[in-house]
Amino acid sequence: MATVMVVDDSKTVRNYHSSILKSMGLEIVEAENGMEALEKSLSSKIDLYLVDVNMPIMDGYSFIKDLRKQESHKIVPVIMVTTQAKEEDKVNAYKVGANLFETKPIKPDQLKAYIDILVTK
Amino acid sequence: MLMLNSVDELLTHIKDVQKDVIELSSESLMKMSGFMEKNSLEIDEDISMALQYQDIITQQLNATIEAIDSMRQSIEIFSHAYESDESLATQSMVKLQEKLNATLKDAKDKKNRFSGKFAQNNEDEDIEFF
Repeated sequence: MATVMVVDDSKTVRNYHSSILKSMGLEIVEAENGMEALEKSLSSKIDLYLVDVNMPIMDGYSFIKDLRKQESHKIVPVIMVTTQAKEEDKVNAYKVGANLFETKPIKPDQLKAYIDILVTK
Repeated sequence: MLMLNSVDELLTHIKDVQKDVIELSSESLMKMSGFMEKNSLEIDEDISMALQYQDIITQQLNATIEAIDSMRQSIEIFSHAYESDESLATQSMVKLQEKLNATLKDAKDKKNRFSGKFAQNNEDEDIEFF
């Protein structure tokens, strides 16, 4: 069974993403910020990351940048789902190594389709 | 400078109210989400949108809280300058105005930045995988 890490400082968002992932039969690991996610990435085998941008302690960009430095996480898919809507945010996301950048609100079926493609790819 | 004290108090009050709104809206949706999980109800599109709107509301309010903090800091610097030398008041007032204008510009920029899809003209733009 594939495992997805949800990285978001909002408990509401973590719950929402987790509900979707559970309905897809996926395992879930949660982290409140980039730093916690980095620590957890070392001890868990993660098949996909669902990451917010704006978080305290370590934001989504810095997290992905550091994650990609780990040999085991160079090609693990990362989806950024965020309220940030500027073109430069999207460009930054792809520069640090995100595979997909989506702006909220995102429809559940759309998110499921992205996860399905990236986890089974 | 009593007027500035009142402005500061008002800004602090607005900030406190905004923090409470963030907490209450989050708590409200957590309860709804807990109810749905308890009753094994699947999240449909409308509920999904509601949950994500809460995050957009939080980001928007947090951005205005940052603006309030920045305004209060500028006012405090001005008050100190004014107290130490009243002859610098005009010069300090100009600086204060510049800082408040910069704060307003930054706050407006963040309003657009944190609006999610509402800020985009075309929701159906192509998705690119990398």
